[in-house]
Amino acid sequence: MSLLEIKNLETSFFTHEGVVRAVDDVTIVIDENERVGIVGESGCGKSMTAMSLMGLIKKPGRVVSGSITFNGKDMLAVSQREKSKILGNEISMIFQEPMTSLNPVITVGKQVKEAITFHQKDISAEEAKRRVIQLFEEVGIPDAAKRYSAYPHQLSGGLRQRVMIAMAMACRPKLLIADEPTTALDVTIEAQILQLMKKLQDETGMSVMMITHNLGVVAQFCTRMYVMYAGRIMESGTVSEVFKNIAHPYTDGLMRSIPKLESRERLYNIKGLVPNMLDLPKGCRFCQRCEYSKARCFEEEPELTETAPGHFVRCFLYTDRADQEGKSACPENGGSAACSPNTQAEGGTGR
Amino acid sequence: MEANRTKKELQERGKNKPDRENAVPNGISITEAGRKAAEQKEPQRTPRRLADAAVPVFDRKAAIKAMEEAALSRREENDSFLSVCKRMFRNNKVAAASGVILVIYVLMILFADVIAPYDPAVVNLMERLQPPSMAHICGTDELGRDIFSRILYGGRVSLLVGLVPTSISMVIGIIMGLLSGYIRGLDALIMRLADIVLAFPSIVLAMVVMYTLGASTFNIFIALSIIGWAGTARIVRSQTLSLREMGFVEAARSMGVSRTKIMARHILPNCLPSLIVLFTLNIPDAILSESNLSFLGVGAQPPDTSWGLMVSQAKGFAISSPWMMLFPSLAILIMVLSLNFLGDGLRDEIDPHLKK
Amino acid sequence: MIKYVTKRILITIPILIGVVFLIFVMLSVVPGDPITVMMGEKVKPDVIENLMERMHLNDPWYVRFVWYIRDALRGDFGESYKLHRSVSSVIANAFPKTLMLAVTAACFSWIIGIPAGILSAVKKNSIIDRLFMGFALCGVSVPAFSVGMLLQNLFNGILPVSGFSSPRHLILPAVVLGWGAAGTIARLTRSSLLEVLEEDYIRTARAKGLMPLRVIVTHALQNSLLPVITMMAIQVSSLLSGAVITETLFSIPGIGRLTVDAINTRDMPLLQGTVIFTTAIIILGNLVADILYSVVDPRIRVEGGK
Repeated sequence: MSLLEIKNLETSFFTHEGVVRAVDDVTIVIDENERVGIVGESGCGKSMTAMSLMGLIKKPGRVVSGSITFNGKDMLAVSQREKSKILGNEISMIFQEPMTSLNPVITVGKQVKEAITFHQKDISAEEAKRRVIQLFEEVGIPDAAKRYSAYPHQLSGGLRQRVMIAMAMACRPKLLIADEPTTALDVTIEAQILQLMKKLQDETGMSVMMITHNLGVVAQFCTRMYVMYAGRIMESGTVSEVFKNIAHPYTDGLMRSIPKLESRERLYNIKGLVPNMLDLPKGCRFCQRCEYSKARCFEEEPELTETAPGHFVRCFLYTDRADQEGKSACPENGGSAACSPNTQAEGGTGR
Repeated sequence: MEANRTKKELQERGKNKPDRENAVPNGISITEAGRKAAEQKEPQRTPRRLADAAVPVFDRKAAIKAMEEAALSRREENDSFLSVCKRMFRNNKVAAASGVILVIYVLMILFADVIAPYDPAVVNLMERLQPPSMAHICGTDELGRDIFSRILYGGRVSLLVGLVPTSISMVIGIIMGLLSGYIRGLDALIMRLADIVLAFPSIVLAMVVMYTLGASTFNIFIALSIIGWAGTARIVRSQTLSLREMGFVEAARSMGVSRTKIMARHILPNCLPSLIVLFTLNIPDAILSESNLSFLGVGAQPPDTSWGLMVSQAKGFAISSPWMMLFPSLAILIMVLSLNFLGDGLRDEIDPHLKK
Repeated sequence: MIKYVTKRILITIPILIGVVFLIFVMLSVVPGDPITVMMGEKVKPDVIENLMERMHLNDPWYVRFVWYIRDALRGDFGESYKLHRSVSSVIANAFPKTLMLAVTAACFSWIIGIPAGILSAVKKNSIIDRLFMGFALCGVSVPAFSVGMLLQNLFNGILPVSGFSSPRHLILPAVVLGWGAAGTIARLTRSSLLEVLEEDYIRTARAKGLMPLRVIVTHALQNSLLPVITMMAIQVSSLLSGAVITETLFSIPGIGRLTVDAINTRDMPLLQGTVIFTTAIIILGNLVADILYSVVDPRIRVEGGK
């Protein structure tokens, strides 16, 4: 049985201008001992998915429908008390901003200790403190004992993120949600943090949900990935499969907007902006920015279709192919190149 | 109101979100840059935190601080004042209602001659200290004068005291602020002067000025103007400081446009929204100051009357004839509250940064 | 930290001198003959000359300013024209009463304001919140003496409404004086707490599984009270100046009353003394507030004003 099952989740914000479906019919499954990446641009709903799971959605937003099952428990139905036993204990989360995610007036050691003592009532204060220092050592904080009584502002961004990781690891969670854990950090620190997380994951066998906009992080870290766009899952599959056979034009666009050394050609950028969530296109959400969009894309929305075992895509390029059994679904002018974006993307992904 | 608030929050959240999530791909996010900037400003932490957290409109000094801070960090577009008002009327029912009440109120005061049932100065000892009745809806005072009529006429003084010194002090403050923000050499001098004025408890300084000039309605204008300019100057200065670094000002400067023209054409118009807000918030302040001065005997002098003077004349009658103090107090309360709500609403629309 | 405090104190000194200077100049240009104020109309010319000499009244104002500063530094603010006592002893006599009033009022405002603010923030937009905030608004939207008179009317016969002879006499004036302050504190606490509740570290605390109440108590309250503490220190001093009104209304012989009396009797040295004293106290209060803030906030405390 899978550890986490998010099924048809819909989280909406009820604003005066209208309803914003930040997360729309999202299904994500994470097995035990798995590293899953959720990729997408800002505001595509990836963080909101995690927040829904943690029950941290604030008004005027709320989970409208769908189910979230963690370890056999319905996370949307459990009581406050029971949820507080799971959060920080079995599921823990690392946030994007290590700068602001730690309480500035409490020493970092105490903040991590709190996570331990809150969930393990029988532990003594000294024991907890020892555990914290041990955790600090595990996550590679030098001078762990001294850092215990440091205030957050005395630590660098990288160290603070390590503290956040220590806090998240404090109770040996089954699932770690990392929401852009390296975005605010320098590139060199980013690699260290990813390595650390990988090491911890190896050692403990926990599952990790890695939320990021950076395909590089996914390539390095994850085994399976979901691509989200405007609240919807656009593509999913194992990292190796998706990177090899990029199917969705959006994933392709993301891939091509990574700068690369070998080519001097102009960096690709996906034209246009993320659509206004209050005024989504009628058809496919990506249609206005898609190079391959045709009339149908503006009229109806494609379903997730399996193109290869375990590889799902939400695009008419593939549903049509599946429907019409090999009949070319390519737009007339584009020829074979347009038919499968992955051929174009080969240069960018062949690493 | 409920709905309004949630909406505001959402707008706020919407504004915050890009900052948080918008990460530049090279690994340094906007928040990172923000943090670096913040760290450089660490020594100024105290005022920033205090101002950000407080923003109590009715506390003038804190409001000045907060608006100063906001001005320094402002970066948004400029709306026309009219569109701001429209938006406020749509979004903020309390502010809209305050605006309407205010207009009615001012009209009543302006047309006091027509509305007032009695001559406010006519003494009628036969009817002294009458409680409210059909004949005298707010009762009569110790000389038998109709309190309602006196409130209407007294409102003229209170209104003048609200408008005239506020206008004068804002003009002085704008000039001082522009000079201070745009001409380096004058900055320290003007700002220290402002610091000194702000260091005084305003009521005490006003008392001293009134003592120096002699108590009269006209001198209240002078006293309150002398006190009021400092806050405006500081806000205008901080806006000038941030505006002068902006592209369009630099462009104008590089084209050889003169200092005065840059100040008048480019900087001042951009300060206007905040100044309008400040103006609405300064008026109630002036009205309250006048009341205090009148109460202490150095404000409006009979036969002039103002709301503050009416309340203070009721001093000996608070226990036996409470209506004497009650109705003028209400008059002040309604005026001050609606002005504050209006200013608050305007500020929310103009400066979402300050919104609570 | 020490550097920060030193810097802060150094900024204060010129302001203080400026304040004294401004008051001095303003009061020096007041028309009126101090000797007349002091002794009445019929005084022999040689007595006048003698007095003028003794009080340096023949010197130009800037010379007198230097004299004044020099004396003031020694604690000598001159002699009251009317009371014929040294200004400093008059102030020393009146100040404890004002201080007692201000401190009582401050305590009142904290006891009312902080819990009200917390409750309002936690129950945001509820009826309680609206009620508290409505009260807070009204508290600062009418002159204090209106509130005072209303209370005098309501509590007449229950509590003493004027004078200053027992602790019971303190109750009404303290409430009147503290009322506006309580409103300010409540609104500040509320907005500060609400702001802190939006912070990322509150999300972190909730993600740890902590229950909402515990999040507020252990993580939000300390942070949100930082600005409140500063405000409290500022308030004690601003209450001292607010006492002018309250003391006049309730006939309390404190500094505020003294200032008003000095104006009414045109007692220039006394007025000078009380105004400078009050302002100095307020400036010091703000200084203490800033330093206090740096002490309670570890971000400033540990690394100081770097």
